[in-house]
Amino acid sequence: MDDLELISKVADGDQGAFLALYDRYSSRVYTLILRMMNDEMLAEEVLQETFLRLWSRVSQYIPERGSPLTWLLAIARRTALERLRFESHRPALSDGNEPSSLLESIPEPASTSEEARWRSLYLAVQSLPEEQRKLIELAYYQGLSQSEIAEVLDLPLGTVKTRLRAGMLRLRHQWLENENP
Amino acid sequence: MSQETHDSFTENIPAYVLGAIGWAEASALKAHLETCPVCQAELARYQQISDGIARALPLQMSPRSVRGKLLASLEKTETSARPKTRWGFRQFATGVLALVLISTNLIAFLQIRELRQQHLQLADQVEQQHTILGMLAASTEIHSIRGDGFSGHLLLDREKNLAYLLTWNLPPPPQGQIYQIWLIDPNGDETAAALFRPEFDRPFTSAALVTSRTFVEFVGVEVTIEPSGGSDTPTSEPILSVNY
Repeated sequence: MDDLELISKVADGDQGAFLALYDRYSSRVYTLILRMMNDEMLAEEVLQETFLRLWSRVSQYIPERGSPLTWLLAIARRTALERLRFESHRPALSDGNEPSSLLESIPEPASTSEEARWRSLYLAVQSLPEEQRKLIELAYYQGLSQSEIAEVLDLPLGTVKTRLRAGMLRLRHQWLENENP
Repeated sequence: MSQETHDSFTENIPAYVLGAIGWAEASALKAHLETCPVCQAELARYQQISDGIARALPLQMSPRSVRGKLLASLEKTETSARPKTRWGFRQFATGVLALVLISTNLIAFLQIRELRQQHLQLADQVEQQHTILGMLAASTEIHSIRGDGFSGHLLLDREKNLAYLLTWNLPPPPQGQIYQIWLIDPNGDETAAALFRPEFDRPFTSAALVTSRTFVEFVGVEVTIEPSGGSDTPTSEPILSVNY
């Protein structure tokens, strides 16, 4: 059964379909939440809250705006950001050091394998200059605005804007345009 | 619109998809996106990156315990939705006693949970409120709006020439259509002021009104449902209107 069929059944109150979605995507959702919270216990709570929100808000899902997984990850990110604000809990930034085994298996960006595609993006993010990667991480994983990042890192706002834009542009060239030249 | 203004919107798109620009800037960019196919294409590209970042991390297995907790939550919901059974006096008394014992902790738990939820919702709206509150000077007018199943306010500051339309519980427009805001002049003529769709995952929607003129030249605001991309003049009856 595909994701849209499962979503449709969840909207009808089908708990089996809900659990099937959970089994299919809970690890992917948990991975994002854990990266944001940097605390297994909090991540577990946010994971539970995310899926409860899916259950109660499934009627708001609009297929034209993205896949069920994209929607689910958006709910997870928002839930995690709310919790981060509530806890005033700021996880440390990743240090950018990756296991050599992972780096040795860098896939081609044009690979058709879905997982390889995302891993290729992950590695593209990791290969960004630290000054750019750090800003993207602060914005995406911790929900900081450019002004807040400037304050946290004690940088001029203009520098933050320039570096953030340069980092995203670099990802676009390295990952997106290699896939769809 | 000047090339310079267009470029400033385009430059903001990478930060916008990361959620890193302020609410006022985001609101203005959203209004621009409704009418700019170049920026829409740019947004789609960067949105792929933003969505991808969420999926790109090396996979971690989710803890087994959460599945069981979710199942218990759903069963609790289902149980509470079942029709009530007829109880005898002894069963009723036992139930009441058990409820009294449990409720002491449960009420405290629910109150804390409720407070926490309220706190989270408030925190989520802080940035929006900062901008809106910035408008709530003595010179700001607040006009209430009530429609079929939704409500809202028009915030208008004639001195600063700023206007925002805030709505709650506005349903999504039909597929292929969009809400369009019109400014009404004293002759009853309409001028397009903004396009907007309700927020994806929240009941609260805000839209900044944009005009090259001043708001004092107009006397009211209307909202109609139009084809995606908007119309030059209204093609449907207003779903709401407010005079100011």
